Amino acid sequence: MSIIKTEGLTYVYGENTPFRKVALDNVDLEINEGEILGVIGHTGSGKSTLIQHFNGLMKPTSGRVLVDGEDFAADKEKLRAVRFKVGLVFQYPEYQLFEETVYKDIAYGPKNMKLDEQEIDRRVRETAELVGLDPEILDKSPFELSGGQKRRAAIAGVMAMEPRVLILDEPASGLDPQGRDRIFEIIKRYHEEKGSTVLIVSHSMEDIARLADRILVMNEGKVFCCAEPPAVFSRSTELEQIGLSVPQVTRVFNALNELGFGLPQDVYTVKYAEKVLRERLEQES
Amino acid sequence: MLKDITLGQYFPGSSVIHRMDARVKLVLTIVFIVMLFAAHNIWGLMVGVAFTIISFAISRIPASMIGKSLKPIIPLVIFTALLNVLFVRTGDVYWQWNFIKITNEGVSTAVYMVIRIVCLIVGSSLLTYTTSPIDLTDAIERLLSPLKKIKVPVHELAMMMTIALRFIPTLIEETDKIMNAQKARGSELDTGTMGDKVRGMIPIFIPLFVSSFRRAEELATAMECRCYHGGEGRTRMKQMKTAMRDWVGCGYTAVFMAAVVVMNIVIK
Repeated sequence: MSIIKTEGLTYVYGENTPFRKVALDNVDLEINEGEILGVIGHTGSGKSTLIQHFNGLMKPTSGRVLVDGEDFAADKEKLRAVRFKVGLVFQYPEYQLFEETVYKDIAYGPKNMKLDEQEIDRRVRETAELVGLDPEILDKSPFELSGGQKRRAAIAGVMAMEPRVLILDEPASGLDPQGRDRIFEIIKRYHEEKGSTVLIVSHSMEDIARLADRILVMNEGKVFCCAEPPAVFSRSTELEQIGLSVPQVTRVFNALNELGFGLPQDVYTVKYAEKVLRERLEQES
Repeated sequence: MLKDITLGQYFPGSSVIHRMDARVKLVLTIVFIVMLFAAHNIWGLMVGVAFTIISFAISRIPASMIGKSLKPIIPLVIFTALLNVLFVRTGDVYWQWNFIKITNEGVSTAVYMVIRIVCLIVGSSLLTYTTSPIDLTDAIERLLSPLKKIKVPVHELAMMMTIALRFIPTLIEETDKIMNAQKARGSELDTGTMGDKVRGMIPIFIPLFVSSFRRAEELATAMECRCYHGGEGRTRMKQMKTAMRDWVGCGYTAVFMAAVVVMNIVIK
């Protein structure tokens, strides 16, 4: 069952001006309920434009976007409902924090959903716990927090709406390695606990490879491919041609295979690589 | 969306007028304005109109842009015309009712004023269409630099303008992003009562202020790191140079100016 579907989705910036640019070109996609989809592409490949169509922030120039089988573009009420169904965390979400306290800021989305006080309280506390913010932090001003905490508070603001689809645009950009790991753990936990569909937009093949069930590769406004990681990474030469790199381990394995080691082609995580190498070593000894 | 707001209204192109020195264009625009107000009769004004039309044709700015620049001043034009028609009371009376008296002088002054205002707007928007805001600020700084002698902080003012111009698109983009982020959290920016709308702006303004301060601080640090210490002894990367086309432009304007003077003298 697909939760988001696009049909011939096309978006053109600055139609009828000298700055006209096709950002999305006839995109046909199906996103399955409950999967983690990694979205990868070069800067300007249209990935950010694409995700803003999923919750109606942008309207297609032509084509359709269906969420839960419904086209919501025309109906204002439906549009609002879609915003709650599809939660979008923008890049550097900490810049959207505005309330006096972290608690109020996380509660902003749920409040807009017109939930009752008790439910709002439950959601705020639950998501704060999920993203690892201590209860005493909730009463602080969001501007007092550290960078990583701000980021997590902002993500919690969207998670508290408990959207069935959570979309994150470069959720870990600008964080240190520890911070990155932490963000991805949080996303994984949210996915497991709520069973929601998750879309992660990223430059980093490593991060995507670790998490995603499927990977969507965008190039110049078109879908380059959308498949499971092994299938995507086996096309490493083509990926490099469009300016994307494959995970480091995959590159190492490709190099080894070029030397004639005959290892499997579908290695893209360090864990799996370790397993493969161990087996190989045991065989040989 | 917000992005569609064009700043200044620079319309990129490569015509002679686009390539002219911004200082010359600025001065010629002032001459043009003087020309419009120096013209005392309809023929003199027609010279001004001809100047405007020919200059526009040379610049290859699409005619639709003229309409765009005139649209916001339509109410002003109508208001001025009405004022003149109603309050100029000398001359032959065309029509009278109670205290309202319409005279031939009233009507002609109104027509003159309308032509003047329209030409003024169209002509000066030609300057902003063909000159990027940055070039324009540069030109203003150069032209005003003699004022430094009487301690007017010309460089600082120009720098402030340049920085403001530089950051307006950035801040617009930022506002757009923040608005989208809050909309994604279900804020209703476009519905509700006036009070709701004002309250709806808080989630946008606070992050915007915070980021403006952050940017200002970063910029100040960056400028200091590169030893910025005001305009004293600063050289420029882009030197403004007048070329043949600038002198041709001056000549062309002078001819029209002369024509206006001739019209004033010949036709009384």
